[in-house]
Amino acid sequence: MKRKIALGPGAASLILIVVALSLAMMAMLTIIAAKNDYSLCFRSASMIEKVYELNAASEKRLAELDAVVAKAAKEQSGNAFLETVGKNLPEGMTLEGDQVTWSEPLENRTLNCAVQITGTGDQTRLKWVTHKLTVNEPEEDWEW
Amino acid sequence: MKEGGRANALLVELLIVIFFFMIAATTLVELFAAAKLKSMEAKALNNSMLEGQNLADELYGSSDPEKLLEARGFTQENETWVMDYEGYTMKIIRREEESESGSLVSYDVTSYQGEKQLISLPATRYIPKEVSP
Repeated sequence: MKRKIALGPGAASLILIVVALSLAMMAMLTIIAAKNDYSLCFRSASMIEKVYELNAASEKRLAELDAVVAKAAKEQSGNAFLETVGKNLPEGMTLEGDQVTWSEPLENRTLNCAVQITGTGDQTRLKWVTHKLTVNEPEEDWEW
Repeated sequence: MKEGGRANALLVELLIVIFFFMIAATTLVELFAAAKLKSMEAKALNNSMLEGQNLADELYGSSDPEKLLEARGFTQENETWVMDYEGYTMKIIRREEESESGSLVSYDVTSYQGEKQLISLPATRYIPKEVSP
């Protein structure tokens, strides 16, 4: 004897509603995941942009310093040369021995730079010694 | 009379379910479309970031950047090189500042998705010149 399954239209409707609600939940989770992925990529991209901006700024400052060194090399030699460089250093730079140090700040990051004055006449007047990036304080908005 | 009433109730119930299903389907389609769009944006941003970093680093170290860009498939328009990638466009602008002691060469590597700017990476390099004492 065949047994009849009692599944009326009401039960079928309830199943449909449950399915629809599950799909809605899945869609919500999908969109939240997509938004989080995007914000992660955005943060990563903005951090990389800052590093490249700092590098570019340090190269500009190096150009300013090299102009001073080249000018001093034309006029002086020996210890007098370094004294002239020390007097005409661009703003924010300090001379210690034959090394010039400065830092490039950008928001909560700082690029610490140091170059060595290697010569007076030839093409390589300056040599990179330090090019170090530091994070001053952790990011505050870590909410995703 | 009793049979007719039950049939009507069933019909109303079915109509309510179909209506609910239609609204749910519309919302869900919109949500999935928005999620797909967002994930495509994230993919373009991520890919352009990696490609931009590669380009910026290669340009910084290259002795002949123009040749490098041509080999990569970029097309030149004045001082700008452009290339279309999957989902975004990469644009590179060259700038040069000459001084007595050297030249500051800068390549601005920028990517766009339509009109929207995704990333901008400046690859700047100072090339000193020989100065006679």
